Amino acid sequence: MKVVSTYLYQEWNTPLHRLNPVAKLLVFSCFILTATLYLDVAVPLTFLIVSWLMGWIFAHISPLALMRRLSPILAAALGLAIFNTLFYGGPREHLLVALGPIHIWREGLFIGSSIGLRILCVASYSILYMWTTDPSRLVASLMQQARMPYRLAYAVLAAYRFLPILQREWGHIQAAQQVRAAHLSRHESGLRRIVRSGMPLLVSGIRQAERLAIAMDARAFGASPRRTHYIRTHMKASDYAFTVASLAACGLILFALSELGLLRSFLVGVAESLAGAPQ
Amino acid sequence: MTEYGIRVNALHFRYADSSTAVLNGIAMEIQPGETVLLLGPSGCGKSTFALCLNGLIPDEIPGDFSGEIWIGPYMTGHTPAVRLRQQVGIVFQDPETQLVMPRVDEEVAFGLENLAIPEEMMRTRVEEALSQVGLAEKVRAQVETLSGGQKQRLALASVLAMQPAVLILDEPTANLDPAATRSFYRTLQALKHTTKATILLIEHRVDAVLPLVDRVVVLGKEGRVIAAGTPREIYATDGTLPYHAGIWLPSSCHLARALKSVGWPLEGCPLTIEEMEHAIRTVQPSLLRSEVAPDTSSPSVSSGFDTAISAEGVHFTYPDGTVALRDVHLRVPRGSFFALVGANGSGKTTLAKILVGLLPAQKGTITILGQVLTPRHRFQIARQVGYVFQNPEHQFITERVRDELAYSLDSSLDAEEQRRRIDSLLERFGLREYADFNPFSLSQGQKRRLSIATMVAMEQPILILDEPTFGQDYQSAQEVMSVLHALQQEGTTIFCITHDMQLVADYAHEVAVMAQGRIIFHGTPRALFRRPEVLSQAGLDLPPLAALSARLGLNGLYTVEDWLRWAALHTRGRINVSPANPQTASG
Repeated sequence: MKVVSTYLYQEWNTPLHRLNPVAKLLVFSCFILTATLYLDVAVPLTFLIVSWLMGWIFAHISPLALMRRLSPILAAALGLAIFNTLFYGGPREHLLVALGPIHIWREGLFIGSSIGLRILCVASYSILYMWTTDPSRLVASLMQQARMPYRLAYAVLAAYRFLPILQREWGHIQAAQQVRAAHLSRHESGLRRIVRSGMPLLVSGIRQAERLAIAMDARAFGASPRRTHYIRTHMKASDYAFTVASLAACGLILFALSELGLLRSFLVGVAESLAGAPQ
Repeated sequence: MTEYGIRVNALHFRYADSSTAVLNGIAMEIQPGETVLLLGPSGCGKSTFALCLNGLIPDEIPGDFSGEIWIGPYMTGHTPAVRLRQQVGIVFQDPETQLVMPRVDEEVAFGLENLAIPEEMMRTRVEEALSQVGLAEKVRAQVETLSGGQKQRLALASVLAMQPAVLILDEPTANLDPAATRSFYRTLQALKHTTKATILLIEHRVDAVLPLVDRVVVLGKEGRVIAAGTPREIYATDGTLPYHAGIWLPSSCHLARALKSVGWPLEGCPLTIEEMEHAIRTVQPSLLRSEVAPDTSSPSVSSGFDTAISAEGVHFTYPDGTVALRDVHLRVPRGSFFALVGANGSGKTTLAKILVGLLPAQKGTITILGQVLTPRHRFQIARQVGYVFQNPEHQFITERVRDELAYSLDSSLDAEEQRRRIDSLLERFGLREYADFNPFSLSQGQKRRLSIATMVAMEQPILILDEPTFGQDYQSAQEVMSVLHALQQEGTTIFCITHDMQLVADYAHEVAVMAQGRIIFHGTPRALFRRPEVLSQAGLDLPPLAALSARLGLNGLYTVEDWLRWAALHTRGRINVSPANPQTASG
């Protein structure tokens, strides 16, 4: 089993790459939060387009390339959107399509696409972040700008390190078990296979994590409360400017959407479905 | 840098989650600047001992600790952690789980940051350490792009940058191929001259490292020092002591033991091939002048046998564009012991995975016992071909040794028959006392035997093994090989991926060499050992005894058996030399 790339991170030199990782984290989290708090189509759609534009303008990543990286999530988002459209059980008024037992309501379509778009939006910003952020600089700026305790900051890095290791182990275990189970039941369900592989994955995951922890401790990690930094990160004027401008843009977008009557608050949505009352 | 020795007194340790102690009263003294080789069977506590020396035990790892360890003036357990970790650096076995940072220079800096070394000083130290291990030009490379050997040298650099007084290397080359191992020890050899560090080296295989060490300490199974002394003292009297402790002897020592047993008057125990050469030249100069038995073995591949596996024009490229196999042609005779050798990354494992249907051949044809392998036959083929992975743990599915074997058996067998077969497998693989153990709690050697047993239980006519002796002590490696040999004698085709050239010499009927995704040689081991250019192209070494035979100008003495046969022939020849019987004399 080959691991294609350990980190999603691509070492380019673009404005989005040069940005302070904590500033970028703040802005992206804010966008994701806004996009998911509205049970709505317009908001996640707008922020999805914003992520494409940001990637395109500031990091030379074409929307197409970004979406290609997202393809597995794209499928999941589409599936969820269709499911929620077809099995919509909330208040309904406008029937769009009726094909035998299949009824598609406008309200159902609205909820379905909203859920799908929100998933895409979260994924799009996450991929864009990992693509343009050097994990070492992220850890450095978490410690230096966000004042995070260094043990916690390094846990972030350990998570980065562990994804590919677990991915590779999973491949090994699947292969080994395919070889062993071959004579038994070739039509074993996927779920059973996952359960059966889970135990070795857990055992080997824990053991590898222990080894990594011991290796880190052996190099004096955590031995002293004070630490120096090999990588320095700073909040430059451009970082402040980007943060302020982005947050302002976020507010502006919401204002514009509400002026256009396209905004429906998450809370309103929840209240409506709980009450079950038609609008 | 200060020079510190190590003093250990009545060291006992038991892990908190275990009922038996690992270390049982270890006492030893290592002089400042000395290089010491620590030997012992697997599971005897060598790695635990290393963690005691830098204070992680008892500081971080819970358990029952007693005794005293002094690193120069510092006593572990009573010294600030940061001082102890700085003074004692450890390079571990697995490159994947000891590197922390994504980039090479950051990795070296990680330890320095922890020691709170000022920023300006860090950069010089990073560069120095990297150039000491020959990675200066990789300073800004991503760690994941390095080879296994480079990663281990990076781990070494990361420890060196901290300027430790004591350097511990815990099986640093266990995951490396022969070429990378050689280069790692060349680096260490050079370091011995530039640093004054006290070095403690833990290794199973001793051939490559004996020239580096001043002293050897042997730990026994019970977690106690059973011998200590210079290599010559340890291996004096035929190396009987390490032999009984189940640890590897230098190949020259094995040969000397065998030749002495047939009456050769060899003195002591030669530690290296060079010494063995000298000893033979001194003891038996007349034999060397006499005609050497010609190598009568056929250099070509046997063609009269049925074919177990054949590959024709097989190509494979990974999704990231790495070309793993290019136009591979291979034919494995049925019932043979077949070895596939080559450097790490040459395509051996990819080929094996294609042969068992875990990966599809992108071009070309695979035929297993006369049946062409197609994706549809994937599962049927697994009934013909067993595959033992490099890491046995990946294969375990249940929580009991007995259940592991039951899982492999045909479920249509009745309960009585199942029990009978399981018992006979447990017996055969030396696992009878462990029937109710959790597979994950077994020792390395036991895990390996169990993983082979689960495959043997399925009774496939072909068995593929990926590095079956990897990381094992001498005794368990011998046990694994004798099981494989017996299986082959019973008619199973054994296909073995390995780096161990002595294993190839001792067991294989045929051998294929891979380099850069191609088969660059296929023939008998004897034919291969006459082609040094093929070996060096693939980054492999001659097996030690073959190297000895070449140095003495004797062709074809590749195994202990070869040497004994040759010795016997000549002893008889000398006895029979008389005018009445001229034919025998010339033999």
